[in-house]
Amino acid sequence: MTLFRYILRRLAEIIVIFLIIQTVLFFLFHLAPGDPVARMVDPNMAPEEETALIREWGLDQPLGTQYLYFLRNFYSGRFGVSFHYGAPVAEIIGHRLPNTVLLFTTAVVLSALVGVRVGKYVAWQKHSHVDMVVTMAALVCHTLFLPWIAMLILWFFAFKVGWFPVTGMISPELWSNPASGGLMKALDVLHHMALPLLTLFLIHFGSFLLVMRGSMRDVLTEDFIFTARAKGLPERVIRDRHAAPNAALPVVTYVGLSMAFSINGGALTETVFSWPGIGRELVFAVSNNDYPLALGCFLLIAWVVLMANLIIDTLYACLDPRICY
Amino acid sequence: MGRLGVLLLALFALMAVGSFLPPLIDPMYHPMTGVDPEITRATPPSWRHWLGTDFIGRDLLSQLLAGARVAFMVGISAAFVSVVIGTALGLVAGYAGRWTDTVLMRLADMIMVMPTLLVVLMMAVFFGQLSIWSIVLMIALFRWPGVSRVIRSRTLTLKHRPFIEAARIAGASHLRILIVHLLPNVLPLALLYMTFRVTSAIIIEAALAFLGFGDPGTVSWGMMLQWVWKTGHMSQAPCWLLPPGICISLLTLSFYLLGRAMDEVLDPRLRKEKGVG
Amino acid sequence: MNPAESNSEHEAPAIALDYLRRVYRGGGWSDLSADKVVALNNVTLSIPRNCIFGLVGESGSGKSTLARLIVRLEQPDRGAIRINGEDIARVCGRPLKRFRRRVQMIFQDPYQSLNPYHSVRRIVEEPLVIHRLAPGGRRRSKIIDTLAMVGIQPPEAYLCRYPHQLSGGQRQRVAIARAMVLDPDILVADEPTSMLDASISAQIFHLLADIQQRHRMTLLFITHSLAAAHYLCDTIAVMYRGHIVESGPARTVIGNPKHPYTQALLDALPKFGQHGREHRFDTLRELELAASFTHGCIFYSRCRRAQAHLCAHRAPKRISFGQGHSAACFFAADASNASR
Ligand SMILES: Nc1ncnc2c1ncn2[C@@H]1O[C@H](COP(=O)(O)OP(=O)(O)O)[C@@H](O)[C@H]1O
Ligand code: SF4
Ligand SMILES: [Mg+2]
Repeated sequence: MTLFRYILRRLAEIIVIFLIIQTVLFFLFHLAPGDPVARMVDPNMAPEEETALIREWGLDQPLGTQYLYFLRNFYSGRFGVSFHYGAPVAEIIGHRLPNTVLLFTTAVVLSALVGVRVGKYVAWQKHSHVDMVVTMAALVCHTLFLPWIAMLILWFFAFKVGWFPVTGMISPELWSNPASGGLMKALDVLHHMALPLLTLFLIHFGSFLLVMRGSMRDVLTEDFIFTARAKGLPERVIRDRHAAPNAALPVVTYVGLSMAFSINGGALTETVFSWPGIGRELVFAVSNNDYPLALGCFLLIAWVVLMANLIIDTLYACLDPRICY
Repeated sequence: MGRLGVLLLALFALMAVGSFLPPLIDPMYHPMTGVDPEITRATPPSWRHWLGTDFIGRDLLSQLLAGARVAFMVGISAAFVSVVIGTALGLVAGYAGRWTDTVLMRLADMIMVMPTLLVVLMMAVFFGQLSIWSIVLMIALFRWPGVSRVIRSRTLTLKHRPFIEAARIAGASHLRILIVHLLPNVLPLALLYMTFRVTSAIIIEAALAFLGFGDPGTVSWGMMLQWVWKTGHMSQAPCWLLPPGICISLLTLSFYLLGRAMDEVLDPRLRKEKGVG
Repeated sequence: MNPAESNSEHEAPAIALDYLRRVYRGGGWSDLSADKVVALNNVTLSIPRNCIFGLVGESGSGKSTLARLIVRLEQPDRGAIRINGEDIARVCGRPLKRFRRRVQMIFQDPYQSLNPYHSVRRIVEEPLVIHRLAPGGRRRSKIIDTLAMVGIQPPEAYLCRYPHQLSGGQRQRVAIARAMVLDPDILVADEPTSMLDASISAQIFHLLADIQQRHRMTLLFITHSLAAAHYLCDTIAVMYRGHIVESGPARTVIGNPKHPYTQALLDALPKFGQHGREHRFDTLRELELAASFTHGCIFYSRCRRAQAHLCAHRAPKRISFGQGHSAACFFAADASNASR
């Protein structure tokens, strides 16, 4: 089967899985103890708004019809109205998503680059002191409890030495001041982003390093490395040209496997640093019983996770010549 | 490495057992309800309170000890249930093959990619305040796929071994083959995965408690961190912040080390199939 | 039971195979055009009771497949398998379980055929537990008797051992004990000694021959070596690519082989103390012909004696030479003359 057909098949699968998730959520929504109408309708709403909402979601209809309404609304971009913000969920998510993407991808890419490089290096220095120390440090990073390390970082850098702002993503006075230029704004965001980025970096860096080191070690025992050595190639060439590309494959797999784990971490980091992203919004919505918002955030995260896994698997297929689908 | 892990674990087990002690000495050492009558704010360590007190004058050391007990309870019971589910489904999927396999593994894939913490949060939306046992159950229900994948692939390599075929020729039923012949062969692997699951269960419970969705009737380390955070004591009482965080991280590390040590004892080729998170 | 019926059952051969066919499909189940392997094709064979029957063929010729069908690990795509006159090819449920008591098997690899987590006692006890035989105190003595019979001495000392504490020969003996503890009518041994040293092999041969004598059962002995078959068996059948090409009394088939493939097998045997007659028959082509196997003789591409106009287009029928000796070759009748 060609790669293209593989992607199509996986896409179809993802759509089915997503539908299943939606359906499960819908039925939980209605079968869980409590009044489902109250979950959709803000108690502080004006009566005419309320009737409009009930009509839009078919809340006075039988369950099957409601399910269809639910799907129709979802696929036409109507996710309901947030109780807390009083604004459409889609709009809120639209504002939050870029912030999450910015923080999360920067952190993952950065830690992958550094972790893979250092892992490659220490795998080559088998059993040296450098290897021991770095591996131990990576292990500690890997097992750190994220909210805790986030709070420590926050305490030290923001409270103790005061180098970085405590919360948020921007300084409102700077942004409301018409005199401040684009560069200033960008630097301001970077300044706010530094601490959450450091947290996420520490957590991911250790895992990337450990995976790369382990897979380099495996590769080093394989025949083609001996062949390369026998040919008299310089160690650096063997390491970077022969061993590393082969060892990178498990790292790609790892990114897929650990996706769920890092998304949890993202939500926790955003919460601690009050970074206005999707994860924090979800936590927030759950605390406030803001059902439409929670549902919207969760479905978005589910969708992103599924798509990211497809991308990773495709990447894997492109990288590994042995796999044919 | 493995020995270090066992040592640390023994220490934590001691803490968990020791958690029954402080309330017996004086009711003010009760981790949840005991309040020092002379203290009404967070205090640093003293002779009376070795680790200090929290914002209403509760003893932090007894909270820490109680937290160890909760961590073990949550970690081991959630891991046990998820490993039981994972092993059962993995065995059945691998042995039955065909559509049973396809359906179960698709389900596993689906659950595996979902971030468990957020999924359990979603459940909190529907079911309101979760008790510690429902948290354990949820973690177990969403953490089995990694186990079942590994057990399944092991079962696939086992099921055409002559000793399984010999059992069939002897007339053993499918159920008997699963339980009497395949189960003992995958059990060491399941045990290994239990150590990994313990870690992830502890972390998920702690994170949940930290976010404020823990069982309000129990003192867990995550809960302690949440109290620091929610009551705005971050800047004032760093010594309150350290103990629970160190404990969670060290407990995770010790189970991780134990798992790694067991892993090396078991078939090294299986390392690649290890689930993460 | 009415006497006539029991009589007719008595006359039925232990194993009778009728036009047995088994095809393995490679690739996915969805793709029917995927390459398929015809492991057995129209195998027809009759194995009398109370004898040692040898099935000989090179590796990949379908011997194991035949064994797996007879013990019902797999089902044939077509054809009948009659055990003592009863077709078991498609039975299931209770009759299948009853059949399981009567037909047992010994596997090739003694290192893989014992559950590593079960003790010797548990391994031998397992069939008794499954069929609820020899309950109570008799069970232990049954296990010990069986172990003693297969030459595990002293049996008591081995009861609590695990497979990894046994040598290869001992493992194979335990595997034989597990099969024999049910007192089966038929024992299928699939290359039981090919993983063992020559001296241990000889012991296992003796053991199997001895057990067959004492229990008056049928032993289907599968091997790739004509020498072993000659040594042990009363009757043999030679298999090539899923076809039975020659069968008959062991002495006749080996002393006077009719099929070019059997002759090639004999040529391949190492001969000691004989000079100058390395290839008595010389029936094997140096270079295989590229030929399709859809129509002609299965051996055509390797057969030196092949006549293209005949062998490439039609499959030869079996020709009988009396005393149960038959071979599937157009020129079987004049084969021996041609070679002399
Ligand atoms: N499970 C299977 N799937 C596909 N092909 C198989 C399978 N088992 C056996 N075969 C094929 O069937 C043929 C006969 O195999 P087998 O019966 O094991 O031969 P033997 O025991 O004589 O060496 C071989 O070509 C083999 O590749
Ligand atoms: S029929 Fe022809 S090809 Fe086949 S074995 Fe006889 S001579 Fe050879
Ligand atoms: Mg074979």
